[in-house]
Amino acid sequence: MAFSDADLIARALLQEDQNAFGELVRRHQSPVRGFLQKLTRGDAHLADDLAQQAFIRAWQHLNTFRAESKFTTWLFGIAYNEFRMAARKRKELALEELDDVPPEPEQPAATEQSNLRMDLNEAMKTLTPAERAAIVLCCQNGLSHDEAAQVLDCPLGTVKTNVLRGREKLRRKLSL
Amino acid sequence: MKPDETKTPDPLDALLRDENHYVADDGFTARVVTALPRRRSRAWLRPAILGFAMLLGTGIALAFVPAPIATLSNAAEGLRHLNFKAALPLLPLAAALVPIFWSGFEMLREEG
Repeated sequence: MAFSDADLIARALLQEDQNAFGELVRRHQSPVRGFLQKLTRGDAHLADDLAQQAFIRAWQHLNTFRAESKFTTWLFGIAYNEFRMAARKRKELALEELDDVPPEPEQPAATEQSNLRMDLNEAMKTLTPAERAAIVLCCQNGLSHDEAAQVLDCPLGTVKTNVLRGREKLRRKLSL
Repeated sequence: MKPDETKTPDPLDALLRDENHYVADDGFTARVVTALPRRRSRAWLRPAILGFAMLLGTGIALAFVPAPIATLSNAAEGLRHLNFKAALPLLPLAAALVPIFWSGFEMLREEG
């Protein structure tokens, strides 16, 4: 019998059942790790470290989860905080938030799908962390702008702007 | 026909969706579960505070009773002879001691 997320959360909370929490990790690890991999520009090792920290934090603060939002949305928020803290430590975020990314030379439109995918990954790396996060959440993970604003802890208008700006940059880079 | 239905799918959206691969677990869940700490329980804190407050209150109250030892021994003597009026000073002491023991018991149970 498959338990719902709510059942597993209740078991993890009331019985301190680590196996129930493990099942939640198994269910949600892919979107969370994927999100962090994109934020860290493909550094899978760092992304996994941050994801592990995020899940441990989720375990410690599970009692603060309110079922008003989806569990995944709540996890994305914790993961994004972990990323921000790590970035602050490395003083990267402050630099990147100034839009200090050097402009890359315009590339000709890729014709083959595999090239396009490679180009997409490269193009994603040129976005600011806030734009990248907004694109990944809204365009890849299907979150609404409202949910993304909740995850990123910023105004709804900022999310909309970041999605729009990010998409424009990607379109330009990929010549789409 | 709605206006949206005439639109061709955005190639950027399709590309972004295609790029959202499933990340294989590869032992990640096991590593997280192994690293989970015991959740910090502060449930013992409340009975501890209550017990300490009660102990402090009893101490202060006894400090204001003239000759507390003599008063309590007289009250105990009164209780032994079933003289309830004489045993009356024991009542507030019992009222203080019961919550102190109770809070101690609750603390041990929460830690248990």
